[in-house]
Amino acid sequence: MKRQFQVRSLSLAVVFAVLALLVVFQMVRIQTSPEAATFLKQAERYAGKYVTLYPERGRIFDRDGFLLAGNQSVYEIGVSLTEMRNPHTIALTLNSVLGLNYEKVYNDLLNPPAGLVYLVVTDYVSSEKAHELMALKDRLAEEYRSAGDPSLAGLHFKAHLMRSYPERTLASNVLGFVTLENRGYFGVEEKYNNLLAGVPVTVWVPEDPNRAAELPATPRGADLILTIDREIQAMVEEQLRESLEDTGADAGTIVVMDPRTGEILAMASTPQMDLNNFAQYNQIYKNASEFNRAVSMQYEPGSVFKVLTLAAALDSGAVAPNFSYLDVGFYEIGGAYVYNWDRGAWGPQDLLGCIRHSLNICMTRLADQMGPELFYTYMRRFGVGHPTGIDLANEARGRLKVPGDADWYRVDLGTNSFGQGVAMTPIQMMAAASALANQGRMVYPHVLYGMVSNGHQYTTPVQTLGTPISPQTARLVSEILATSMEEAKMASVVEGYRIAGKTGTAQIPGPDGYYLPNEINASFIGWGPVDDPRFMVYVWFEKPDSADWASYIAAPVFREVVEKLVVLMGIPPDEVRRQLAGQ
Amino acid sequence: MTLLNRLLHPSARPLRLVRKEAQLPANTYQAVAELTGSLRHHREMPLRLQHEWLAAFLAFVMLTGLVAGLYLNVTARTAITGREIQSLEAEIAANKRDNADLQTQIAALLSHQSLSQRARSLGFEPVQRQEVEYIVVPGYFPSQGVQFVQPVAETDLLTARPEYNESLFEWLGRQLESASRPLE
Repeated sequence: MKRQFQVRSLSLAVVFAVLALLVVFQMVRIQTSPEAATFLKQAERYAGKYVTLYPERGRIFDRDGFLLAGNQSVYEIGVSLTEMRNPHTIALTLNSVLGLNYEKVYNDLLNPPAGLVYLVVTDYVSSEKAHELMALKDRLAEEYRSAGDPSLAGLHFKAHLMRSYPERTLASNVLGFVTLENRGYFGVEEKYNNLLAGVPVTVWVPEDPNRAAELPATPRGADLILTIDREIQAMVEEQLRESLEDTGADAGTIVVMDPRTGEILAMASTPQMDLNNFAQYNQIYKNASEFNRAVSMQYEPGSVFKVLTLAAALDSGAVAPNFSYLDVGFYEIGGAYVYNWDRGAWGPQDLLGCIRHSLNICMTRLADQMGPELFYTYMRRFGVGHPTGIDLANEARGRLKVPGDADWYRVDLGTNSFGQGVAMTPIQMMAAASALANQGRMVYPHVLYGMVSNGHQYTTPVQTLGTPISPQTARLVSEILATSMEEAKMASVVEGYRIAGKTGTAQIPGPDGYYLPNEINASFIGWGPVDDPRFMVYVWFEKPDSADWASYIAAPVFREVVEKLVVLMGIPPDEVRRQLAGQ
Repeated sequence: MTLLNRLLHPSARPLRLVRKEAQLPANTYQAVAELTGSLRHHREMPLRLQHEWLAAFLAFVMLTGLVAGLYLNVTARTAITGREIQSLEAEIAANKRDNADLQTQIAALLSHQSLSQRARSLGFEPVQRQEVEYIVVPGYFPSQGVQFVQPVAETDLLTARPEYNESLFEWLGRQLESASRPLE
C-alpha cells in the first residue's frame, strides 16, 4: 500500500515537472521565434499610451500690460460605460443642467459604437456648470448608498484650456479669434498662430507606475505685446459707434498710428464681435474682408490720394513750389475731359489753392507734367498696389493700373492723380502718408510691439519701407496741408494744435463699373503736431446718409478723435509744448 | 566529508544514490520502483549528512526570500513614487489651469468697460482737452518703451539626477566613461 502511494505521488511529480518543463520550453520557443518582435510590440502597446501635451496658448497684452487674450478652464464631459449604472439619470441631469437633448444622450449611452468603453458626451462646458455637475454627482453617490437609485456613476470630467477674451469686443478686429481646434483666425491670432500655439509634445506614458517619469515641460506659446493702447482703442471704438449713428453710414473705420515708428495705437472697424462668441461670425460678417476693413477692404480713396500726387510732383521737380495755373473748369487728357468736383472753373490757382479747394484739374495737370513713367514710379515708391506687410492676417494688396496693363489708358493718369481708378486700403494710405509726416521716410505699420518667450523679451525694431521723397518735400507738403486746413477753417481743425490733413470724397463704382449716383466713401487723413508728429489718424465712412461730402462727415470725427487723443497721449498744445521745451 | 567538500572536490567519491543493479529495468513500473528505492536509500543516509542537505536547502530558501523581499520593497516604493509623480503632474496641470483662470478673471474685473462703469458710478468723468494743465516736473522722465519682466523662466522639469532614473548598466557605463576621460 505504502509503495503504491509512493509510486502515485512520484508519478504526479513527474507529470508536473514535465508540464513545467513544457511551459519553460514554450516560453523560450516563443521568445526566440520570428514573431517575437510582433508580440513585444503588442505588449508595448498595452503597457502605456501616447499622450499629446498641448502647451498653453500664449497671451496677448496691450502696450501697458492689460490682458487682451488669455485662457480659461473648460471641461470635456464623458461617460465610462463600464462604470455607468443609470443612463437615465445621466441623460436627465445633462438635459437639465446643460440643456442637452435627453433622447440623444440616453440612446447614445445605451447603444454606443461597438467596442467603445468611454463616450464623450459634450465638451467646452464652463467651470460653473461642470462644478455644479460634480457636486450633484457626489450628492447622488451619497444617496445611492442608502436609496440605491439614482446614480451619476461613470460621469467623468476632463479639464482643459480654451481661449478667453476679457475685453470682449475691444480690439476684436485686430485680435481675431481662436476656434475650438485651437487655430487662430483673423488678426493677430491668425498671423502669429504658430508663435502663440507653441509646440505640442507627444510622450509615451506607461500604465505601470514603476516606469512613471516626469512629463517633459511644454513651454506655453509666446506671449505677445501689442502696440495697441487700450485707452485709445476704447476711445476710438466709442467714437466710431457714435459717429456711425450720427452719419448713418453702413460701416466705418478709424485707425491711429504713430507716424515715427509705424506702431498702430488703435484700429477699429465695424461691425465688431464678442470674441468669446466666435460662433456668431457667420451672422455678423458676409465675407472675410469685412472683419477688419482697415487692412482687408480696398476702395477708391478719392481726394486723400492727392497728397501723394502733390508730394510726387514737388519731389520730382516737375513743378516748383510756386506753381500756378488758370483753372478753366476742364482738362483734356488722353482724349477725355477731367472736371473739378463741382464742375466749376476756379480761375488762377497755386498749390495751396489746389489742396484747399481739392481741385481735380490741378492734380491732373501735375500728373500730366510728370508724365506716366515718373508718376507711377513715385506711386510704386509709396507702395500703392502693394501690401504693406502689416502683421495682421488677410491684408488686401490694392490695385494700381500702370502703363502696359491691358486696361490702362492715358486718361487713367488723370483720374489716378485724384484717387479714382486706384484701390487702396486705409493702412496702405497711412503707410504712404507716413513719408510726409516722417521726414520722407515711410514706416512699416505693425501691431506687434514685442514678444515674450522663455523669459526673454524681443522688441520689434522700427523698420522703414523706403524713402520715396526728400525731407524738404515732406515738410513742404505738410505745411501746404496744414495751411489749407487753417485757411479753409475746416471742421478738422483742433484749437491749439497745428495739424496737416486732407479730406477725400469718393464715388463708389457699381457692379457695372459706373459710379453710383448717390453713394460715397468719406475719408480723412491727418497727422500732428506738424512740427513733431506724434499721431496719424485715418477716418473712413462707407455710404453715409447725413451729408455728401467728407468735410462734413469725416473731418468733424477726425477732430473729435484728436481732441481726446491729445489728452490720452499727453500732448500739450503747440504753444505750451514750446514753452515747456524752453524750460 | 561535508557536502561542501564534496562539491569542491569532484575527485572525491561522489555521493551516489543509484540503484544496485546496472541493468535497465524491464518496464516503467520497475523504473519507478527503482527511483523509489533510491529515495529510501537517501532516507537511510547518515543523519549528519541529512542535516547538511536541510541546512543548505533552508539557506537557499532564506536567501531567495531575502532577495524577493528586497525586490518587493524596492518595487513597492518605486510604484508609490510613480503614483506620486503622476498625481503631482496632475496637480501641476490643475494649478496652471487655475492660474490661467485667475489671470483671466482679474483681467475681466480690470477690463476697460468694468473700470469705466465703476469710475462713472463713483462720479468721475473723462477729462476734457481744455481742462488739462501741463506743468514741468523736474527730474521726471516718462518711461521709454514697454518692458515685460519675467524673472522666473519656465525651464525643463526633467532635472532629476541620473541616479534616480538610470539602470545599473547605464551607471557602470557612466563610471567607465568618466574614469577613461583624461584629466582636465
